[in-house]
Formats: sequence, C-alpha cells, structure tokens
Amino acid sequence: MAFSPAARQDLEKQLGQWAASLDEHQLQWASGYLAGMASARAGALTEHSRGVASDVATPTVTIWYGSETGNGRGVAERLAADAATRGFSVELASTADVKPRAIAKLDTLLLVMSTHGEGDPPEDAEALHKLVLSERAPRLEKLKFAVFALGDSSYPDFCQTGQEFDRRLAALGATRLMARVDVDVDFEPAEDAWRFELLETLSTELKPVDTAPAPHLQLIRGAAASAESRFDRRRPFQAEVLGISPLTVAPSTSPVHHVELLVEDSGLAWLPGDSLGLWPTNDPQLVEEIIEVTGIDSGYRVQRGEETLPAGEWLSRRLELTQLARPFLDAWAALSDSAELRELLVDREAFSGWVATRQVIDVLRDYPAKVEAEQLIESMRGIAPRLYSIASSPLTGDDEIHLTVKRVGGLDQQSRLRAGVASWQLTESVKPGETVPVYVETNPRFRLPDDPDAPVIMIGPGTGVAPFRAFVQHRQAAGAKGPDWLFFGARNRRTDFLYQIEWQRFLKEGALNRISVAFSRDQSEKIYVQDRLREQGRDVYDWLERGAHVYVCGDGQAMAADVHQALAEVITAHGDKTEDQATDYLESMKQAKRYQKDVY
Amino acid sequence: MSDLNVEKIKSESRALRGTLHDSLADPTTGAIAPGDTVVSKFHGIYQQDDRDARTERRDARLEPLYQFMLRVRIPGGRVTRAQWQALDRLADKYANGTLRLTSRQAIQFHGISRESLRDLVRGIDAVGMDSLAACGDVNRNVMCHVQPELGGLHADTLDWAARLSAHLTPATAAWREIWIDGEKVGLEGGDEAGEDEPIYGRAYLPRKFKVGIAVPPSNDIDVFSQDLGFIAIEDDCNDERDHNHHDKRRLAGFNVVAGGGMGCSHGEPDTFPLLGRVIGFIEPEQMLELAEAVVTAQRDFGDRSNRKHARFKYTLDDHGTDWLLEQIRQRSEIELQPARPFEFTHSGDAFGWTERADGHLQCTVFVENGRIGPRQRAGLMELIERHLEDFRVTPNQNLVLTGIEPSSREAVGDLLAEFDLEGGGRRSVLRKHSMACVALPTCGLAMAEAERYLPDLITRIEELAAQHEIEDQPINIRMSGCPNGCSRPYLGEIGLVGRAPGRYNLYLGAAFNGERLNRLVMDNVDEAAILDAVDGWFRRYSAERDAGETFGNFSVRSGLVAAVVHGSEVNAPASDRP
Ligand code: SRM
Ligand SMILES: Cc1cc2nc3c(=O)[nH]c(=O)nc-3n(C[C@H](O)[C@H](O)[C@H](O)COP(=O)(O)OP(=O)(O)OC[C@H]3O[C@@H](n4cnc5c(N)ncnc54)[C@H](O)[C@@H]3O)c2cc1C
Ligand SMILES: Cc1cc2nc3c(=O)[nH]c(=O)nc-3n(C[C@H](O)[C@H](O)[C@H](O)COP(=O)(O)O)c2cc1C
Ligand code: SF4
Repeated sequence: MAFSPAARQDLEKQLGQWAASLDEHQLQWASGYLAGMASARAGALTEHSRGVASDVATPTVTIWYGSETGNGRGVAERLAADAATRGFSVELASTADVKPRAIAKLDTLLLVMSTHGEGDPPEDAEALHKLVLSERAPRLEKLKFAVFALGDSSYPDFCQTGQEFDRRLAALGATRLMARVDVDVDFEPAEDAWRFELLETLSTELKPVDTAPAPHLQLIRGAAASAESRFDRRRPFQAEVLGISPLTVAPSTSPVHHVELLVEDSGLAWLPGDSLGLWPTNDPQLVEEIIEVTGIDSGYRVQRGEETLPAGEWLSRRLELTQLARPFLDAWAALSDSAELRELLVDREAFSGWVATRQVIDVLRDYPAKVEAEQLIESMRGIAPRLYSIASSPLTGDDEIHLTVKRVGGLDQQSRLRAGVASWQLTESVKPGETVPVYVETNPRFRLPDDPDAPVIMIGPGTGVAPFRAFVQHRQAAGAKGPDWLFFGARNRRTDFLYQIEWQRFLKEGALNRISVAFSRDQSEKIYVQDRLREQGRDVYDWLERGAHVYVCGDGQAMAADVHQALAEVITAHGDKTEDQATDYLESMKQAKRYQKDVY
Repeated sequence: MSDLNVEKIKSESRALRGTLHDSLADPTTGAIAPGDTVVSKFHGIYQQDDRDARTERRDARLEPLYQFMLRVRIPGGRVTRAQWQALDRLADKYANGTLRLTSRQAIQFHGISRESLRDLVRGIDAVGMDSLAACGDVNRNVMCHVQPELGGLHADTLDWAARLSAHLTPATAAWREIWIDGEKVGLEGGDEAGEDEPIYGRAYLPRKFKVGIAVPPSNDIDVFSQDLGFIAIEDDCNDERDHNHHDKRRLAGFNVVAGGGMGCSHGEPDTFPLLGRVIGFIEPEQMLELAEAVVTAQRDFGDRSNRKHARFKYTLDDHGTDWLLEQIRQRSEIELQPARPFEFTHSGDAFGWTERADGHLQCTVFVENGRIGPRQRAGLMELIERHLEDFRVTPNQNLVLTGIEPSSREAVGDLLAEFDLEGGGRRSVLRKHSMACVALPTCGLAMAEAERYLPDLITRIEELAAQHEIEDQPINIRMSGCPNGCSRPYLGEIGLVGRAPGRYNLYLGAAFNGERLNRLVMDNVDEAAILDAVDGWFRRYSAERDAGETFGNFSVRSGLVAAVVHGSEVNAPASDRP
C-alpha cells in the first residue's frame, strides 16, 4: 500500500492525540509493542526467526509464559516491555505457541509459569512441561534462565509447576540467572522487585546496546492481546453496578445471581471467553467480627510493606479474610502455639479438606492468641481479585458487562457471615449505583472460531454457562451461520435452569440450534452433562467430524475430566477408533484450537 | 391461548393425539407444546402455571412454573370407597395435596408436574376412573341430583345419567394410549387418523357442551344453565310427595331444557349468560337419541368461526326453538310432547341428615368452595373407612356421606366436628349457600381472587346479616374470578364477578330456585362498596320482606333491581334498561 505524505500527516495526527493519553511507561511500552507488531506483520512468526532484530546486534532475551488465567501473561508482558525499553531484543511468547524443542536453541529464557489443577501445569504449557521433564529432554548447557512461579498458597502443591521447571532446567545443564521466585496470588510487590533485579542482572550479564537503534520487541502470535485498555489488574476501572437479580428461585440449593455492570467510557474491550477481574471488599460484619475476636483497634495505623493504613482499612480492602492460605496458618500456628494446627500443616490430605470449610475468622476464634495489630496484619495474605466469566457480548453495544455469580457459603447457624468475599459482595451486599473495581482478563485460549460457519458445541453446567450466553449473543449479532449446541446442567429444572427463557428465545430465533440439559436431581438416577454427551454421541461425533469447536467451562476439575472422558468414549464408539486414537483425536483438536477449556 | 387456531388443531389432532407424546418428553421446559394444550383438555388435563410465582420467576429469567390440573370425570358424582382412597393418596403423591370438588360434580387435582401426569392418570385408571372428556369441546360431566336412594325416581335418573354420559363419550383410544400405555402412536395418516367419532366427527364440537338432569323440587344442578337439561317428571297416576311412599314414585319422562349457559366477556355485549328454555317432554327411552340429535345439530350449526359465539346457547338463540325441534325431528324422528308441569323450590344443596328407604342415613356436608385440604382429607378418610358406603359430589362443590348406620350418626357427627368438616355444622346458612370458583393462583383466566377471598367476604356479610337479623335466611351468594362464571354467578341472588385484583362487578336479583338470572347493579367496585350496598339491601329486606319471601324475589318486587327477561340484559348498562 502506498504511504502518501497526506496519509502520513494524518497518521501522525492520530498517533499524537493517542500518545498524549499515555504516561511515559506506557509510551515506551507502546513503542516496543508497535515495533513488534510491525515485525510480526512482516511474518516473523516462528520462534527462531529474529525478524527485524536479526540485523541489529542486540542480545535477544526470550520470555515464555505458561498462563491460564492471565496473571502470568501480565507478568511476562510487563517484563517484556521493560526489557525492550532497556534495549534488549525481546521475544515474548505463550508456551502454547512455541515448539517445545526450540528451547534447545535459546541462549536466555525467562520463564513465567503458573500452576493449575492440583499441582498441574497450565494447559498452554503442557507440551513444554512434558518434554522438559521427560527422558527425551535436550541438554541445555548453553541456556541461561530464570523462573517466576505463580501459585496460590491455599493449594497444597504451591507453585509446583514453576518449581519443576526450575529444578529440571538446572538438571539439564542450564544456568540460573537468578534464584526462582514463588509468588502467591497477591504477587504485585514481589513481581516488581523481581523484574527490577532480573533486568539489572541481565544488563550486566549480556550488555544491551542502549536505546538506539529503536528498542525491539518481537511478539509471537497470541501474546500481548491485552494491550488496549487503560485499565488492568493494577489500575482497575470503577464500574457502576446497574442491577443484581437472582437466576434461581427457592428451594434452590445453590443461589446464582445475574449481575450487570456499566463500563461506559472505560475503553474496556473484551471478547466472549474473557473474564472480568474484580477486587473485592470484605464485608463490614466480618471485619467487625475479626476486630472483636482479636481485640485490635481498627483505627490504629499499621505498616505493611511500603504502606501504612488504619488496621480497619487493611482488613476491609487489602487482606484476605476468607480463604485460608498456608503462610497465614504457619504464622498463626506459631502465634497461638497450637499443636493441632502444626499437625494439620504437615498432613497434606487433611489440610485441603480442612481449609475448604473454614475461614480466617474460624482460626482466630478456635486457636486464640494474644496478638498486636502488626502481627495480625503481617500474618495475613494480601487480597487477590476474583475472576468471573463475562456473560455478555460487546456486540450488544450497551456498554454493559454481565456476570453470572454463584454465592459461595452464606450465613452460618449463628447467622455469622461465612461466605465467599466476592460472590457475597456481588450477590448480596453491593447495591445498584455503587461501583466495584474491575478489569478485563483476556483469555485468548477460549475463543469462538474465526470461521462464522463452524459449528460450536458448548458444554457449561452451572455457572459454566456464563461465557456461552456471550458466545450465542455474539454469534447472533455477528450473523454467524454456524450451528450452536449447548449442553447445560444443574440440579432441578424448576429452580436452577440459568437463563432458561433466554435459551428458549435463542432457540426460537435460531441463534441456538440445539440444547441438551441434564438436571441431576429431577429423577431417581443422577444425570449429568457427560451422560447427555454419551446419549447424543452419534450426533456429537457428526458435529466433530463437521469441524465443530468444543468448549468446556465450569466449576470443578471433576466435571472437565468427566466431559473429556465422555468425549473420548463418543469418539471411540461412533468413530470406531481405539482409545489411543480417540486421545490423539482430541489432542489434535486441542492443537487446532477446536477443543478449549476454561475451568475453575 | 386465544391465538391458537383451535379448529385446525382439533381436526389435525388424529383423534386427540396431537404431539402430546413428544411434548411430555421435552426436558427443556415444564410445559407442553402450545397446540397440545388444546388437545390435552379433551383428556381432562389443563396446562396452568402458578400465578403467585410469575413475577419472581420472570425476573429470574425462568419460565412460568408450569403445572397441570387434572379433572376426574364422575357422572352423577358417585365415588366409591376404593376410589376415594386412591384419590386421597394420589393428591399427596402427585398433586398439591388437595382435592377440589367442582361445581359439576367432578374432582380436580392441582399443581401436578408434567412428569407426574402419567402416574396420576394411571392411578385413577386403576380404580376405574378417567378424565377423558372432562374438558374440551365435547360433552362434559353429566350432572345429576345426588341422592338416588331417596326414591325410585332418583334411582332411574342416575341410571339414565350414566347411560347418557357413556353414549356421549368420545370413542378415541388416545387417552389410554398416551397416558396408560404411554406408547408413541402412529404418524399422520395412520389408522387412528381415520378412527371415527360417530357423534363428534374429526373436529369434535365447536365448543364445550354440558348436560344435566334435575329432579324437582330440587334444582341443585341449575338445570337452566345447562346446554341441554332434563327435568325428571313423575307419573301422573301418583302425586305422592310423601317420602315414606317413595317407592310408589315412577319416572314418566323428562321435560327438555335447551340452550342455557353462563359464560360471557366484560365489555362484549354480544356475549351473555342465557337460561335454557323448556322445549317439551320426552319418554325416558328417547333420551339418548334426543341428546344425540341436539349434540349433532350443534356440531353442524354451531359457530366455528368465533369461539365466543360458539356455545349452543347462541346457536339456539340465533336459530330459534322451531329450528331445533325441526333438527330433532330430522335427526331422530322424535316428536316432543308438550312440557309437563314441574316446580323447583330451590337451587343449591339441601344440607343435613336424611333417611334412606333402607333405613340408612345420609348427610350432606358443606365443603367450603369444594377445597379439601390435608386436614379434611384425613377426616374424610376416617369417615369412609369406618362409617360410609360411598361419597357423592354435589353439583355445588359439597359432599354427601351415604349409607350411615343410624347407630353411628353420633360418631360421624363427632368426626365432622373434629376435622372441621362443615365447621361441625356450625357454618351459617349464608356461607353454606355461597360458592366460589377456583380462580387464583391456578386459573389462567382469573382476573381477581375467588376461592381464596370469598370466605373472608362472607364473614363480613354474615356480620351484616346478623345486624339486620336475617342470619337464618339462606341466600345464594356466588363469586367468580372472571366473567366465565364457573360458579354460576349470574344465578346468585347476589353475584360477584372479578374485574381486576380486589374489584368486582356486583349482581342482584336471581331467583333462589334458579329460574331467573340476576342483573349487574354495580360496576368494578371494591369490598367497601360491596359491603355498603349489601348493608342497604339487607336493611330493606329485613324490614320489608313478605313471609317466606326469598331475598332474590324481594329485590325484584321491591324495585331494588329490575327483573331480567333475556340474558342479554344481565350486563346491560343502566341507560338501556327497562
Ligand atoms: C373447577 C370449575 C369451577 C369450580 O370452582 O368448581 C371450573 C374451572 C374452570 N373453568 Fe369453568 N369450571 C367449572 C364449571 C363451570 C361452569 C358451571 C357449570 O358448568 O355448571 C361454567 C358456566 C356454565 C357454562 O359453561 O356456561 C363454566 C364456564 C367456563 C368458561 C366459559 C364458557 C363460555 O361459554 O364462555 C370457561 C372458559 C372457556 O371455556 O373458554 C371455563 C374454564 C375453566 C378453566 C378450565 C379455565 C381455563 O379454561 O383455563 C377453569 C380451571 C380453573 C382451575 O384452576 O381449576 N369455564 N365452568 C368447574 C368445573 C366443572 C367440571 O367439573 O366440569
Ligand atoms: C477463569 C475463572 C472464571 C470464573 N468464572 C466464574 C463465574 O462465571 N461465576 C462464578 O460464580 N464463579 C466464577 N469463578 C470462580 C470465582 O472466581 C470465585 O472463585 C468464586 O466466586 C469464589 O470466590 P469468593 O471470593 O466468593 O470466595 P472466596 O472468598 O475466594 O472463598 C470462600 C472461602 O470460604 C471458605 N468457605 C466456602 N464455603 C464455606 C462455608 N460454607 N463455611 C465456611 N467457609 C466456607 C472456603 O475456604 C473458600 O475458599 C471463576 C474462576 C476462574 C478462575
Ligand atoms: C482451577 C485452579 C487450580 C489451581 N491450582 C493451583 C495449585 O495446585 N497450586 C498452586 O500453587 N496454585 C494453583 N492455582 C492458583 C494459580 O496458580 C494462581 O491463580 C496464578 O496466579 C494463576 O496464574 P495464571 O493466571 O497465569 O494462570 C490454581 C488456580 C485455579 C484457577
Ligand atoms: S370463572 Fe374464570 S376465574 Fe373462575 S375458574 Fe372459571 S375461568 Fe377461572
């Protein structure tokens, strides 16, 4: 395309206006980002081609991330941006988009890696993880590396995957640039410190040429998708709550609510499949209870890290009061000098069951200890945002983000609050007109097919149906022709059929072509979505053969596993294949991005 | 459902099969396909939804709480012990725990989930009951006076009622296929499509059709409200009214009453209640043939283009009596004889104890609005298992307990009291003569409360009656939640018809014996206005009535309201009234 002077002036003007809205950090980041786009367009899409970089003698830093819910990706992107501004030539890639064996060719690898499932690698890192930990792993003498491990200390296998990579890379002969860092869900401070220290080390290890020629950041496809909005996890947008309405009726055993947020003028951009991150606020009743039990003074100012705030403020906005994390229990076991707690902390099995039904307050009550406000606040974990699948399509054009929120816990027998902080806030306490701090967590690994004619099978029991409401709205608005088939499950049709009348309307309008429902408690024998998949096996297989994209979303690892099993059986039964062939069939669907999961 | 083309659905239903079999299996909804809601009525099954739950569920993006009402057809209202035991159990297992006696001697279950329908129907089938043609555009439950044992006349009439009911029941096997066998039936054009309905034909009747038999002096079935009514006439040779000689009484035949009905719509002057007209006399043996002639005449001449003008009462009103007599002649060769004299002293039920020919006792007990809740059910179970022969459902939502040993009279009385059946006889005559339709929350057509509200209103009216010292005077008070008039409100000495929540049209002036309709006196009024009006009427009635003068007749004589001559006047605005 010819680039006329007029057009250039025009572009300059646009860029100028836009650049004016950015701070320095963002501007530098963006310059690298744009350069990257340029080279990416130039076709530099394989992991070894250096694109523009190759003709400048700048040392290349490779940043790979394994990330399922976006935290690690964010960390990797921030690192890439800073590295680029320091003059390094950077290759940033999701581990889903690299050839595992390419690791053998690298000089410098900065690996950002989260842990999912029960100590399992995030889905996009499965292939790399498999290779690196296997016998067939290449020797890596020339590789220098550093691992940033993300995890959640309320899980027994904290940062398992990052640790495995760290140990194994060393074992394969690679040298650590820096000791591994394990971070919990409140990882911001640790991340910044790590990034700074790491880049200092890199600068001494391999001298970057200073910023001329233009810093260069190469993007491998899929990465840095979330560079649009001014708002992110660190700078959330205050979204106004428009309305909250129940989606279930008595005597439902698990209340679910529909939540509508206004994101007008936020510039928040999202696609179906993305989640919304919410920074929750602890309920005053619970904060009150903690203050009463520990007898600390809520006005008393306490320093934690860099910051000093009144104790009450720490408790209501900054600290995790509901989930029980290991470090807190460690600290509290010491403070309360409780043998029972100490035993629990070493009993892996008992631990997970125990924390699942208790909260910080229960520990404070049952294992009393005389503590200073400082000790209490120091012992606790910083609060982390909660994610909710976005249940509305941007194409509806009403600047609203809808969520489908299931309340966790509630009031106990003594009507004390023992509920999930975010789900309670969203379903019971926040009032229309109030605002909540949110950001979009993009999920490039849960996307509608590019081909509007491709069939889509959506499997979303319970709140797992949320993103599929956005999917169907989106395909309808975009006039996509491909058929849609929804599998939904819940306990009882009468009380728990989330969005029932909307699905009925979609069916009428042809936006949804087929719906299969499994209500587990409506008949003597329990029926689940995976049973429906088997029942409808013949058709399911036909759809797969016709190129259907399969999406699985929902609460609970078990469901995803059962659904996977059912799909495998359907393929063996109706595609007369062996079990191994079925496994390969699904594996290749994954590779082709035709089989995507978002489970929590 | 008015947007449905009922005629099309009926004639394409393959003898009432429709797509019910598939509808019952759709897991995405608790409802059945719209077309099938028309077909299911012929099976005695109505799709409804809990109207109390509507708003909450709409807000929750859930479909309405679809549930079903099943009406058990009981010709003449007789329920055996085994049958009652079954109904009682089924009410708990598959319905909302109540049984509902209807104003046509049938029994309804409410709040049945679609999934429970088959089990429920199988349950009634097991004790020889069915619900086929309890609703729909066919002949409905045949009503008949409920105490045949009180004389040969009654025995014969009940017998005829049963035969007539059998004769007019649709021939289709669909009911058994769908509900009992549960098989999927053949497709369009299969044999069942050609299955012939000798009387009804493929499209059945243009509208529901109702038949009832009255035995003077009791007009308990409101014979003038029936599409086709029969008034039992005794042999002239014996005008004995003395029950000790009841066996001498013989059935001579029936006066035929044609073209009655209650239903109408607010603000649609072309719709109105009508009283049936006496068109002549027939011998008992002519009954089935005559009925078939009238039914087929309605089948062929009834207005199938407008359901609001499709009832037989309009067909007859439009074509006239001579036309009908001609039709009967052509279709049955029956020449009606001149009508015989008869006298009705009352409509409604005669409460209390009566002695039977064989010395056994019977007791007619008041069941408020026909609703039998768990508590009353418990009492009735004890009664039927320990003291009774069977139950009879009256034409006014009440129950007759039959075959009681004189020795257990006291025990029965105690049980009635203990389980608050008929308030242990402590209910006022006013209350006992009141009747309300079901209305909210189950009836899809209700505009205002009826069954759930009338009891309170009656309490207020009882206070007024007491103030004016007329509490011993029976007065028919009938309330319906909409102008369809399921409690036959236009035959109430005081009638109340729902307009909107808490607001009613107020009617006055029907005859206590059911021979004169009432007239609209106040439009769309609330409780205060109603009580105020009633207070005024009672004051005058108490002061000015003649000895033995009924309230309805007084209201006309005293000029409180002008007598209605033709049903079209019932809702006529004051301006164009005589
Ligand atoms: C249960 C009962 C009232 C009661 O409290 O006992 C009843 C209840 C209903 N009637 Fe009725 N009718 C009942 C006796 C009557 C009577 C009285 C009678 O038959 O002696 C009438 C007035 C006489 C007549 O038919 O004109 C009556 C005139 C109607 C009408 C108006 C018909 C018309 O010509 O306009 C409708 C509406 C319709 O058919 O379109 C109707 C419709 C209904 C429905 C089925 C509403 C509907 O169509 O969706 C009601 C079900 C309510 C519920 O939740 O149970 N019902 N209905 C009576 C059952 C009788 C039976 O066992 O078969
Ligand atoms: C990608 C992704 C998408 C998601 N999408 C959705 C969605 O669309 N809809 C949705 O509803 N959720 C969704 N979630 C889950 C959501 O993010 C939260 O995890 C969930 O809402 C619980 O958070 P909370 O703050 O309410 O509870 P938390 O405060 O995080 O946890 C409550 C804690 O209280 C304790 N507890 C639980 N029950 C009891 C009890 N009865 N008594 C005492 N203590 C108890 C347990 O220790 C539990 O950890 C998603 C998660 C992810 C990762
Ligand atoms: C379903 C699920 C399972 C998880 N399992 C573990 C685990 O076993 N061990 C752990 O340390 N963290 C676990 N986590 C916490 C994540 O590792 C943590 O949220 C991390 O910040 C996610 O990073 P990501 O968004 O880059 O995937 C789990 C999180 C989810 C949603
Ligand atoms: S009168 Fe109207 S409200 Fe009452 S039951 Fe009949 S149709 Fe329903």
